Formats: sequence, structure tokens, C-alpha cells
Amino acid sequence: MKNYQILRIIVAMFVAIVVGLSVTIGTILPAILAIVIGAMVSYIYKKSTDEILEDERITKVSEKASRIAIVVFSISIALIGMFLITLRSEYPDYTQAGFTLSYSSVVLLTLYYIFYGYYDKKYGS
Amino acid sequence: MKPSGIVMKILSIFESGLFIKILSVFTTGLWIAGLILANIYVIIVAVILLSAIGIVLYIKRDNLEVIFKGDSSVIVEDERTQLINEKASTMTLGILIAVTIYVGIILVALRSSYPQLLKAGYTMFAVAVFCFILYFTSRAYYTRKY
Repeated sequence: MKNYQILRIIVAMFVAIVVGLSVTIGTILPAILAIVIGAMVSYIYKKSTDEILEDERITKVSEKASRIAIVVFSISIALIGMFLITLRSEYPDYTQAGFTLSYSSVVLLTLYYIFYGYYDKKYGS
Repeated sequence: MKPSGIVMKILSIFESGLFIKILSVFTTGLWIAGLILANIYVIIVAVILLSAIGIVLYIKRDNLEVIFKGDSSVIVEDERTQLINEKASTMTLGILIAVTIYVGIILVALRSSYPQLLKAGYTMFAVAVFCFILYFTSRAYYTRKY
């Protein structure tokens, strides 16, 4: 588990540096390559190692945390997006941000219901 | 039904958990609207409503758990539904954060070609950071709890 954490930190640093540089320069290719390489290294290590990477407690904590985060996050972005779109005459600069937030909440809900349907079938509806 | 019975029934609506919850959400909305619009009258209305909720909650302080959690004997969510919700949330959150960051990177990196989408890119980054903060805060809370 310790080795995996070290590897994850190194991969995250590598990806962050390359993506940061690529965004600063204004070219997309190095960023995409760095993300793909990072994901591949992490995946290959996970598949090849015999270490226990995640126990039941961590999984449970992660699932509970995700649920709370999703609830708070969806409500917040939907409300903020709604306010920014409603106030477009006073703050026209933030209208695009408002639409982005609203679309994000729609994507979030769509994804959530797709996975809900999948797990509902998986665990016998 | 006697007239006093009807009056009591109407009064009991104002003390119900659902009404207090709806009123709290409405008051929060007023706060946010007042602060965004910089309108003192909206904020005053929010303060009055908040005081009213505070008074009701103070009077009913011994029954707060019943008001907000409802009747514990009623099953709202079984273990299977809870499991499905948690698994779906984990997958959704992971994919959403990944997609948001990727789209944000693409939009910001291509700012010379699509300058009109630069703000959307920054908003994507802000969304991802907000999501991370929420996730790690709640994770720290549950790590302590278990």
C-alpha cells in the first residue's frame, strides 16, 4: 500500500507538471499524452502487484464520502448556476459560468441515474 | 370538526418537520439572493424568517430529532438502496471529476483557437476543485467516524 501511494504521488506530480506546462504553452497534445501515460502506469501497477491496495473500511468510507459529496455538490452547482443565469442582466460576465454549472449538474444527474440503473440491475431489482 | 380543531390542525402544520425544512431552504435562498443582489430588504426578510425558525426550534428543542429525522420506525431507505446509492455516487463522482478536468484542460489549452470558451474552462477547473474539497472533507469526516 505504501509503494502504491508513493507511485501515485509521483504519477500525480508528473501529470500535473506536464499538464500545467502544456496549458501555459497552449498545446493540448502533451497534456493528453501525460494523462494517458499516468493512467496506464497506475493501472499496470495495480494489476501486477500483490499488495492489498484497498481494504473494506476504506471502500466503505469512500462510498459514504462520495454520496455526501454528490448530494452537496449537485445542489450547490444547480443553485449557483440558476442564480448566475437569472442575474445575467446584472452580471453578464458570469452567464457562461452559470450555463457551464447548469450543464454540469445535468451531466451529473444523468451519470448518476445511469449508474443507479446499472447497480439496481446488478443487485437484483 | 370543531372550529378550534381546524385552527389547531392549521397551527400544527407550522410546527411540522417538513414545513420547517422547506422554510429553512427558502430562508437560505433569500440569504444568497440578498447577498448577490445586495438588497437589504431581502436580507431583512431572511433575518426575520431565521429568527422565527430559531424561536420555533428553541421551543421544540427537546423534539429536534423527531422533527428533522421523522419517525424512526418508518423505513425510508433499506440497506440495498443505500448500497446502490453509495456505489452509484462513487462511480458518478469519479467520472465527473475526470471529465471536468479533461474538458477544462482542453478548453484552456485551446484558448487561442476558442477564446470564447476560456471562461467555461476556468469554471470547469473551479467545479473540479470544489468537488475535490467536498469529497476530501467528507472522507476525513467518515475516516474519523469509522
